Amino acid sequence: MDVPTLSAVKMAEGGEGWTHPFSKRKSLCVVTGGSRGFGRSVAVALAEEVARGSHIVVLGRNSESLRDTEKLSKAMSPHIQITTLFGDLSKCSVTGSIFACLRFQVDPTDYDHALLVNNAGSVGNVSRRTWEHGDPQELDSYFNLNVASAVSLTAKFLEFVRPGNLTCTIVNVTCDEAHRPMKCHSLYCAGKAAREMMFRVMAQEEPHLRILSYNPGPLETELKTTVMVEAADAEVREEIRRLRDDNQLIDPDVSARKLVLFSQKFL
Amino acid sequence: MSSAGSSTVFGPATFCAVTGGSRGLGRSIAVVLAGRLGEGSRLVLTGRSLQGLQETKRQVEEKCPNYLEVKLVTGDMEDPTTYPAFFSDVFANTQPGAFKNAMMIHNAGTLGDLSKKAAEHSDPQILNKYYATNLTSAIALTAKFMEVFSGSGVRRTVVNISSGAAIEPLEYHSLYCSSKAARNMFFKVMAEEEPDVRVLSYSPGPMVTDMYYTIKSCGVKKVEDGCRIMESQGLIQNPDDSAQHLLTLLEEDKFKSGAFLDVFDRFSL
Repeated sequence: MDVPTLSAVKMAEGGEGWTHPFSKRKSLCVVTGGSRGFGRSVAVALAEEVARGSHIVVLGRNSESLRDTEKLSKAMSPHIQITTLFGDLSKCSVTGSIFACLRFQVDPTDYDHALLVNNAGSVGNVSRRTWEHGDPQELDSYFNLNVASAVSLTAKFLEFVRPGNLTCTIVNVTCDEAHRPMKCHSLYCAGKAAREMMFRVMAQEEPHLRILSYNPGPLETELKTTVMVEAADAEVREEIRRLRDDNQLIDPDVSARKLVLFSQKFL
Repeated sequence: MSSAGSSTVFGPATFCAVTGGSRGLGRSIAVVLAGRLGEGSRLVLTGRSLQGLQETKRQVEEKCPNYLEVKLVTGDMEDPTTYPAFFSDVFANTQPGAFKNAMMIHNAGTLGDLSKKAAEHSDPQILNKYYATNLTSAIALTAKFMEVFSGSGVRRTVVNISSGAAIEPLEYHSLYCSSKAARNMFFKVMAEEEPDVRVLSYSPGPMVTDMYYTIKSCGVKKVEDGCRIMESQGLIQNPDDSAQHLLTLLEEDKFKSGAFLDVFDRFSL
């Protein structure tokens, strides 16, 4: 069983054939990288869909921005619980402490469904070429955040929800660069390729789990602006500028709603 | 087959570093290279076992004439704080101007814990060490290699020893598969950015090495059965043959930079 990789730009809208309607399921959702950008959009989109009594946990690195995510999510639905957790996933110690902390606030047996959205990530220093990535500590930190944390978090999440015997959905937020080499993006390409492969192996090993690698498309977020300004290669900067000028950058809220839609239909 | 010193790719004055040279494919690559490197060349072998490296050196020196300098550097790539000192040793006393060719062969690699499924890899410290050994170290070492051999005149080659596992998911091998997938992508980007560098990802195929025996005795029936099937089909090679095939690919020099090729010529991207 291979992991479906869905591209937002190709997905069709539709309301039929619901297999896992979130509106009917008390869900425990964890979203990483939720202080801004796509992660925030996912938290808000989930808040709009999930049933009364659900709980959305948002992890991020910026406390103030997390509070904004919380406000926006709560505005969607007063009948769900929102918890924000501050943590930097580039540090090994953080993944362990997340569930240690949640254990006091969350009982998995209260829910029907568990969803983890592995969204936290970074594009790396795009002003550097492949051969300029010589700082071992920087590389270490990069792969901790972008690969190791997603893997260990997923394992700990599954361990955490096991007593509830819930259906589980694991989402890996990916991108074209997992398959398409792109100048100035050597670390990003490597990290995304590692994650996609990791979740493909997981899908083979765990047929009872619903595992989805979701490509949100080129989004109109700070990440893209950073690349547009800082990428070492002029062609790369120009490509993003063209996408922006031709209105081809996707609104993260739109893409997030598609992810939530698709997660419900996907078997 | 080229005789020592006559190849334009290896020829005289070639600097070549091979990681994981203390046994297995790394040793085979070193010994096969010994017969090809020309006068004024230097072969640097890295690995965790000094004893293993010394045995490789002995086999290399048995094979090749005296003009090949062989240097051994021991180190464990789990801890990135040790890299600067380790890399300094690898490239110590290297005058780039003294070489016509420079080759970096990233062969060192580990399997990770084969008893764990992907969903069981919960310890971030273990994951961190794994990716440091199998991904970060190759990236950082490449950066150092490029820094030492920057500037014109030196023909540079970087080889990423890869695996079919970079392309096909294999149960109980999530760490190995993911690190190989990451490496393939990293080196593809490198090939795009550095058209003057010849970059090749090479899958050596299943070979009679300690790594293979680890896989074969991992305790997972599906994996062990797979090994037995390959053995019955005569697919498990001598690493010397796979090393030979790699050198032939490098010498023919027809591959598209960044390509992923395997010993059975099944993939060509």
